Amino acid sequence: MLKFWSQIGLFLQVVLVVVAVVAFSLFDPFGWLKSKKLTLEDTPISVRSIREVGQLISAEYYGEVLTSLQESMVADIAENRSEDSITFVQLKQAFDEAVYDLREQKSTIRLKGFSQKKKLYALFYHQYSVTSHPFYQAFVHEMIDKKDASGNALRIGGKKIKSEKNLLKLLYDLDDKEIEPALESLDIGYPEMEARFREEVEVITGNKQFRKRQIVVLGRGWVKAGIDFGTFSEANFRYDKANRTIHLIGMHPEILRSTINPWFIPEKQIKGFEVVLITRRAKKPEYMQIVKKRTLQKLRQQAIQSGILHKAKENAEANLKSFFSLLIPEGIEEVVIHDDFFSYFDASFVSDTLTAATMRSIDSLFVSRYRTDSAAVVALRDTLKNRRVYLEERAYPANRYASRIEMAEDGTLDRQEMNWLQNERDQLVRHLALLQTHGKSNFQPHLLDSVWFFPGSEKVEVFREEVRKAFPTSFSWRKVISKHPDYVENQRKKRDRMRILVHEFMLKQKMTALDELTVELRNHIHQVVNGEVTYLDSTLALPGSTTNLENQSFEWASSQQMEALLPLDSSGIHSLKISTKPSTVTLSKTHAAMTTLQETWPVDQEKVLQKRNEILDSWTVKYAVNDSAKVSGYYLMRSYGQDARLDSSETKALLREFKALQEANSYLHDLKLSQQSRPLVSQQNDLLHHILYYPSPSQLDSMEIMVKDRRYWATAKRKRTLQKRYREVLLQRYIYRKRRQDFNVLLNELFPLVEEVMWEGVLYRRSNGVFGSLPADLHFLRRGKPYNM
Amino acid sequence: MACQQEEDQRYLVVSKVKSAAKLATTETIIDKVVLGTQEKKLLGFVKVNKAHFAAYTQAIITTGVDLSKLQPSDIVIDEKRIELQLPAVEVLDFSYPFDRYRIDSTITQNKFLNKIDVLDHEQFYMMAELDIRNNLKYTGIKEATQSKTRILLEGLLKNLDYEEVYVTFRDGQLIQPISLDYEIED
Repeated sequence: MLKFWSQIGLFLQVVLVVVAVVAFSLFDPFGWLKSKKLTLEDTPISVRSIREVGQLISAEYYGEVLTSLQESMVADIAENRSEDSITFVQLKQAFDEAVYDLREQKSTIRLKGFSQKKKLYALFYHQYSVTSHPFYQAFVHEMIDKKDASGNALRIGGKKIKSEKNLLKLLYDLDDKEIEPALESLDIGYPEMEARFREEVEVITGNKQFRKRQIVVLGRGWVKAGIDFGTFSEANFRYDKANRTIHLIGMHPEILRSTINPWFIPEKQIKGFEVVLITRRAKKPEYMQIVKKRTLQKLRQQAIQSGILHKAKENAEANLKSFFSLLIPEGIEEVVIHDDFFSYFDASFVSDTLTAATMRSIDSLFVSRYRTDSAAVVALRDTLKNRRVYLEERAYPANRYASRIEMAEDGTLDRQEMNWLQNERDQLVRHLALLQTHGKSNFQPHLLDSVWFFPGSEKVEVFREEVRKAFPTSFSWRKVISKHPDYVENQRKKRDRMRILVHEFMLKQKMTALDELTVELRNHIHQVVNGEVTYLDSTLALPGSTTNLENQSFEWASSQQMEALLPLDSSGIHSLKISTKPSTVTLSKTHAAMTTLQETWPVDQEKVLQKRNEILDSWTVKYAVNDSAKVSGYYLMRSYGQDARLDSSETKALLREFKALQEANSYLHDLKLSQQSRPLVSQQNDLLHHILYYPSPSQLDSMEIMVKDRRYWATAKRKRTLQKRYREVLLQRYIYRKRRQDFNVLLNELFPLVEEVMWEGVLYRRSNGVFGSLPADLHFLRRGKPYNM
Repeated sequence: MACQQEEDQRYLVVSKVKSAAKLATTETIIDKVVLGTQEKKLLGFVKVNKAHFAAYTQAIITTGVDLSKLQPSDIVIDEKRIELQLPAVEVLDFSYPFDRYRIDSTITQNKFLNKIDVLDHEQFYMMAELDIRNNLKYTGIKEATQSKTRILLEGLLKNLDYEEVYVTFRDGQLIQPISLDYEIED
C-alpha cells in the first residue's frame, strides 16, 4: 500500500513540474522567457524601375478611419450584392431583348405539335448568348421565385410561373400589348436584392467563429488628386489667343494615389496602422489584409465625400493659370479643363453661328468617337441640326458636307476641289445605279455617313417590316437549330435586303446633302477650273489663259453650262474625261482616276481597260515645277522624291515593295503546275497593279497559244485543270515582269532626286553623288546598280 | 503626459482637403526584402530558439517639383529665349502599399513558444519603411527626376514657341532623413 502511494506521489510531482513549465512558457509571469527585441536584417534596397509620369497633384486629403474585421466582411457581402444587382439589371435587359427578338420571329419559325415548350426552350438557348452568362441560372430563379405586391407568386397572363420553359412559353404567347408590362413585372429590383443581402448577413454573423474573430484598426493616410497628363497630346490642347484662354480637353481630375503606410508621420512616431484590438483567432495575415483594404477604401470614400475631386479641378485650373502666366509674356486669362470634346464644343458655342473650320474639328471628333461613344455623337449631331454655318452673309445648314463650304471662301473652285466634287457625285451615282439596276451594293459608308445618314429606329423598323413581307417563308424549329441551308440562305437574303434598303436610304440622303452643297457653291463661286480650262463669271475680266465660254457672257446662276459643270456628267466611268492628246495632270487627279478604275473593275472590266490604256498613253503626272513622270503603278511612290529626302516610312514602303517583288520572283520561279498557284504577296495596291499591267488582248491571245500548244498535255491527266493553272501562272508572270520593270524605272527616277535617306533612326547623306554607307538592306537604292531579279 | 502626447498626435491628423501644386514627373519602384528575426531567451541570456520572417515588399516613390515654390524671379524671358530655375526636386509621395507585401512561407518559420504574429509583421514593415526612406538619396532618383522634368518642360516650352530653353534646379533635399534612435513600442 505504501509503495502504491509513493508511486502516485512521484507521478503527481512529475505532472506538477510539467504543468509549471507549460504555465511559465505560456504566461511567463516573471518575464523569464521574454523575447529579445525584433531585429531587422540589413538588406539592400534595389531600384526596380524608373518611369516617366506627368501628373499635377492639385489637392490632398489627410484623414483617419476606424475599421474592424467584422465590418469589413459584411461590407464585402454588400459589395458583391451590389455588383450582382448591376449584373442582374444587365441580364434583364439582354433577356428582354432576346424575348422581343424571339417574338418577332413568330412568322419565320413554326412551332407546332407536341412539346412546344421544349422546342421553344431549345430555340432560345440556341439563339441567344444571354443564356451562357455565368449568372443566368441564378437570375432565372430569381424571376421564377418573384412575388407580386401582395406577396403571392407572380403570374404572367394570369398563369403561374412553374419553370423556365413555362416562363418562356408564357412570354412568347402573350399579346403585343401585354408583353411590356409582363417583362416589367419580372424586373429584379432593390427589395429582392436587399432581402437576399439580409439573409446572407444573418447567416454569416450568426456564426460563432465569426464572432470570435475581431481586429480593430485606426488607419491614418492620405489621398491625392489631380490631373494625369499621361495621354496628353496636341489634340487635347487648344489655345484661344483672342480670349487668352487655354482649353485642356479630355482631361479630368482623378484620384492619383491613396496610401496608408506603416508610418503616417515617422518624424513624430505616428503610425499609419494602429491596431486597437485583436483577438487570438484573428491573428492571421489574411485577416489583417482584409481590414487594411477596407480601411483604405473608407479613406478614399471619405476623401471623395469631402469634395477632393472638385477641389482638384479648381486648383488645377488656378495652378495652371499661374504657371502659364509666368511662361507666356502676355499672360493667361483663364485655363478651362473639359472632360471631353463634347463639353468643349458645348462651351465654345457662344452663338448659333459656326465656321467651316469648326465643322472640320467636329467631323474629326465624330470619326474618332463614333465607335466608342455613339450616343454622345448622335446627341451632338442633333444639336448641330439647329445650327448654321455662315459664309459671308449666307447661312448654310450644318450637315455632312458643312466643312466643305470653305471651298467657296476664295470664290474659286480649283482643279482639286472640282475633282473632289466630281468624284463624290460620280461615286454616289454609281452606287445608286448598282443598287437600283442590279440590286447589289458595294457602298462602304464612311463613319461620317453613318453619323449623319444612318436611318433612325422608326425607319429601321419600317425596313424590317418590308423585309419580313418580302421573305414570308417560315421554317420549323429543327431547321433553325440545325442551321439548315435553306434557313441560312433565307437569313442571308434578308440581311442583304436590309443592307440594300439602308444603303439606298443613306445614298439618297447623301445625294441631297451634296446637292445642297452644290447650290451653295454656285452662289459663291466666280471661277471654276475644269480640266485645262478656267471658266469665269462674265462680269470679271482677267488676262491670261481664261476664256468665256463660247465668247458668250452668261448668267452664272442659271447658265446651262454651269448646270453641266456643277456637277459634271456623272454616268460612272464615262465621267472620267480623257483626252488622247498628251496632258499633264496633277497627282490628285491621277489618284482619283486610279480609284475610279479600281472601283469600276468588278462591274465593267472592258471599259476600265480602255480607260487605262488612254491614261497610260496620254497622261503625265506633274510632281513639281520641273518634275513629271509617266503614270505607272508606282505613281504615289514617285512623289517621295519631292522633298529630296526619303523619310523612314517612305524607305520602309520602298523596301517592302522590293522584298515583295523578290518573294514573287522566287515563288514564280519555283512554281509547279501540280500545285495550285496563289496570288502574289498581298500589297495594298495589288488590284491597281493587276489593272495597270493586265495584258492586252493580243498578248492574251499569245498566252493562249502557249497554253494550248504544249505537248505535255497529250499525256497529262486532268488536262483542263492544268491548263487553267498554266494560264494563271502565265498571267501572273506577265504582270510581275511589268511591275518589276516599273519598279526599276521608279528607282532610277527617284534616285537623282533624293539627297538623304532616313532609316532606323540614322540619316544617310549623299556624298559626291553616291550613298556610300547605306545598310545592306537598302543597297537596292544605290545608283549605278539597276536592280536585276 | 501620455494623454497630452496622444492629444498632440490627434491634433496633427485633421481630415481636410488641402490645396497643392505639385508636378510629378517620375515614379520609381523600389524592391525591399524584409528579413526579420525574433530570439527567445531564458532569463535574458540563455538562447532558446530563433524565429524567422521574410517578405518581399515594394515601395513606390513619386518625385517632382513643387510649383507653389516657383517665383517670378525664377523665370527670365528674352524674346524667344527662356531660362527657368525650378525648385529642388523632392519626394512628392512615398507609398509603401500593403497589397505588395508577399510573405515567403518557405523562409518564415515560427519556433516552439516563439511565434512571429501579425503585430510583429507590422513592426518589421515600419522598420523597413524607415530603412527605405533613409537610403533613397543613394538610388539616383534625384538625377533621374531632374532629367525627366527638364525634358517635360523643354517640350512644353518649345510648344509655346520658345527656341532656346534652359532649365535648372535649385539645391535641396530629396527627402527628410529620419533618425532611427528611438524604441519601437511593443
